[in-house]
Amino acid sequence: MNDKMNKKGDIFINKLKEKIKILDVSRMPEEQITITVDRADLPETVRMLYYDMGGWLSTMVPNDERQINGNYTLYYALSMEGGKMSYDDELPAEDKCWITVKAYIPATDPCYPSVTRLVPAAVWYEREAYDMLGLVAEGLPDPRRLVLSDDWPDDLFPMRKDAMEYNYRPDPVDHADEPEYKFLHPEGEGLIDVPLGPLHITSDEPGHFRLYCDGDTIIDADYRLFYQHRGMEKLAENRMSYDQMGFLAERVCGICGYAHATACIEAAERAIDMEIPRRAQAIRIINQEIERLHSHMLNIGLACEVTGNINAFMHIFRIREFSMELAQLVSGGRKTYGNVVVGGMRRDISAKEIRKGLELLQTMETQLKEVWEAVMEDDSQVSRWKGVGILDRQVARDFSAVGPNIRGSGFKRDTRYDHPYDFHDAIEYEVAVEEGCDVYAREWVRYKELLESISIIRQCFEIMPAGSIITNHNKRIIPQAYALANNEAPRGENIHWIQHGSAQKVFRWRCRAATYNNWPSLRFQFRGNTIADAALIVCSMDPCYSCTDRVTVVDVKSKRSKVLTHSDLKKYSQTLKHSPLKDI
Amino acid sequence: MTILFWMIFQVVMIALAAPLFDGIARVLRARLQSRKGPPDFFQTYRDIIKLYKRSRTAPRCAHWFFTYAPFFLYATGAAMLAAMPITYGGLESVGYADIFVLVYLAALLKFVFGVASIDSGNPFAAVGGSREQMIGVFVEPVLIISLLVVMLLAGTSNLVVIQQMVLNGEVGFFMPAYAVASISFLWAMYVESGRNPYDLAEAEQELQEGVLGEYSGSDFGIAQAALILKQFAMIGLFITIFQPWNFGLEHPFLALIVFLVKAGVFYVAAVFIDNFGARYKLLSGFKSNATAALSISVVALVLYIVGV
Repeated sequence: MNDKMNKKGDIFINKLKEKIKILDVSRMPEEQITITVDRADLPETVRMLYYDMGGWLSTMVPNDERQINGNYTLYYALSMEGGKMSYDDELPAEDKCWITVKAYIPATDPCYPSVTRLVPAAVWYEREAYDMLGLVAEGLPDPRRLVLSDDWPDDLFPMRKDAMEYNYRPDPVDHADEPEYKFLHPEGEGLIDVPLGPLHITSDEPGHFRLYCDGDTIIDADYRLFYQHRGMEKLAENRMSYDQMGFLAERVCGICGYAHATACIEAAERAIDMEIPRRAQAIRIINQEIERLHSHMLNIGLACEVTGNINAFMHIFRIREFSMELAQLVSGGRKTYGNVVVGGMRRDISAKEIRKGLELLQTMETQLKEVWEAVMEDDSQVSRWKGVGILDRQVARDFSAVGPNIRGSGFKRDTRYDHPYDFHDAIEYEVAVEEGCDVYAREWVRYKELLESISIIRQCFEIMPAGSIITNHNKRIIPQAYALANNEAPRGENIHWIQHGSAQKVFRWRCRAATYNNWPSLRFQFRGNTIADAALIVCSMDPCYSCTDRVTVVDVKSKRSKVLTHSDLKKYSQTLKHSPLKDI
Repeated sequence: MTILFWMIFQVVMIALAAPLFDGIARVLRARLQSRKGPPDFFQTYRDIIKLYKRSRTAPRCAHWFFTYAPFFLYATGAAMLAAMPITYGGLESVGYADIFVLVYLAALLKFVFGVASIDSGNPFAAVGGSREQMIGVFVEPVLIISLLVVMLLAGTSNLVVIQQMVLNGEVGFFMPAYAVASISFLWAMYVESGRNPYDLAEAEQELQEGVLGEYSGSDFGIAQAALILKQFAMIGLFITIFQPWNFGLEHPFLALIVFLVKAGVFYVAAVFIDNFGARYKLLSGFKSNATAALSISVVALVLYIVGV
């Protein structure tokens, strides 16, 4: 390669070099740049990329590389696409890329300065880094546990390579001795504490919400998730082959599992620069869009059901059945699972199936338009959605929200559009964006995306090239090669990061579900609404409970965050002096 | 003695027949929602019987009030039905069949509902209970003013007398005040029956069944039956005052059948309202609705005062 030529991402690196000493630059897949900095420079580097150059925090991977180089490593992966706060605040397509900021943490001194103080979006990742690997983020505002249960032993960090003998498990703590999880509780006159969960009744998923209400109005909220952490990332390490990985990744989610499987397998493929046949790419896209069809219809239906409009819910579910039938046609199962393998696909589509599929798409489109029109004409339904659960644009920017959640707040942020993958370069489609910031806008985004999905599937069916669906290149896994893969799941951008190990096994797999980036902003969406809207707001975010909880107070102006302890708040509300929020 | 017999007779008959209309409403609702729904009209009977066979459970923190509330609710609903001069309307005047008796029984029912839900210790039930009282605050003025207009027109609060006067044509829809009052009363009746979009207190998705959240088994079955009875009582009050015509069928038994058919039609037809649209919010959608209904009832009162 010619060093003189400007390569992708050089503009960012040159700007960074003015202030920060960059130790190393590498490009594993061409558009994924890794820059290594000293751990002391980490917060400033991430901040410059995030706020000054228009990056969004896509994932952060803490890794135990002691057997490779004697250190722990942190990878902050940023998607460089422009701040998007205004219409022209966006990078041109040729400059969009991934920049991963890498820092070594010596094994003898496992700590690093917290990025969260400068970039609030990192808060969840840094908490998880402590839970999983015992890496301490100095100055991280929230000291609570994230993933692991409250009675987990203090000195056991499961993602360390030497941490767990699998015939050894920490003893369960007696129920009476379980430590209490500290919910943030605002003090005040006549506040009711309404616990929602641990099993959320409308989502039927585990998540414990605390709503602090004055009468019917929610003053604040706190939540604890991760009740069903299954330790999948640990399970994958050194144990599973790549043929098994797809099946494991599918089990991350019951609805958008296909997107996870594809992202996981594509991360493995990208790390060794493996091209898959175009036909296989197109089939992967078709399956993902089918998943979006049934997931969005589920969500729109639930958004009606939660407000008591059972009639609309039932009719949307009737139409949803067509998408399940389509899935069965294309993938052989109602849930599109079990199809992705490294190098391509397992199952091809016949011309007969395509013809039947096109008919189904036509039926779905007509009926969907009819039902949506009826829902929109219903003033009582629209008034329940409008102005509810406002996601402030600055909050969305600070926390790197993804999916319909952020597109409903006027950000043109879609990973299919920012970082096109697979067959997407051959397909025409519009990114659905709405400006309302409320539930109404988010449901409109979903409806528009349904029509776009139908159009994408139709285009794939029509222009899909013939040929093989699996590559016969005999590529070998390169130990320690890593890459991230992105795709737009129904709920937003999924990021999977894979580092290969030796012996054709995974060394480190980091799976970041879309909702992981959406949870922290939920608290801001709750405030000022009524209990009647609580379930609706959670529903409009379309949560996947494979995520976590974190609560920080963020001042959107100074972009700094601070966590209030229980006693801080208590003291302040008793005396009303020395506001704990003054200095942030 | 005969009157007591007919009172008990009509309560038992309505209590037995009411679940049938609920079953019809459910089948119709399922058809409107393009789903299959219950196999026939008798599903509500099967549900109540099934629930009734189950044992009782109560939260540890609940008191005797919670335990006895379902019976109390059922008894109050039955007492309201007994006060309707359905079968004994033509026999003689009874002091018990009085508008005030009914209004206070309805308020008592609401009170029991609220206290039982707060006593259950479930915060959602408490929110549901407080919503129920808030609904009362909005609905009761409409209810009282509408009934006041009728009472002033008839010069009595005795239902038997009012019913006779309407049947004889002394009071009726030719009086504008009466006609307008019937509109606002119809609204109040629908809200009191606790159906979508006014089912704020029992909102399953918002409050996890709200007031009934902590009831299960036989208690839940009785509470549900009581709620159906209450709905019939509210419809019955409307029919007694505003639609008492029974096509010349004076025999108590035939009158009861006519009443059941009329109430059933109202009960089932309400599906066409409750099936569509989203639930109102207490302080936005519901409040503006209540204000409109209140102004209608005030118009009725003004019409009476100016004497048109």
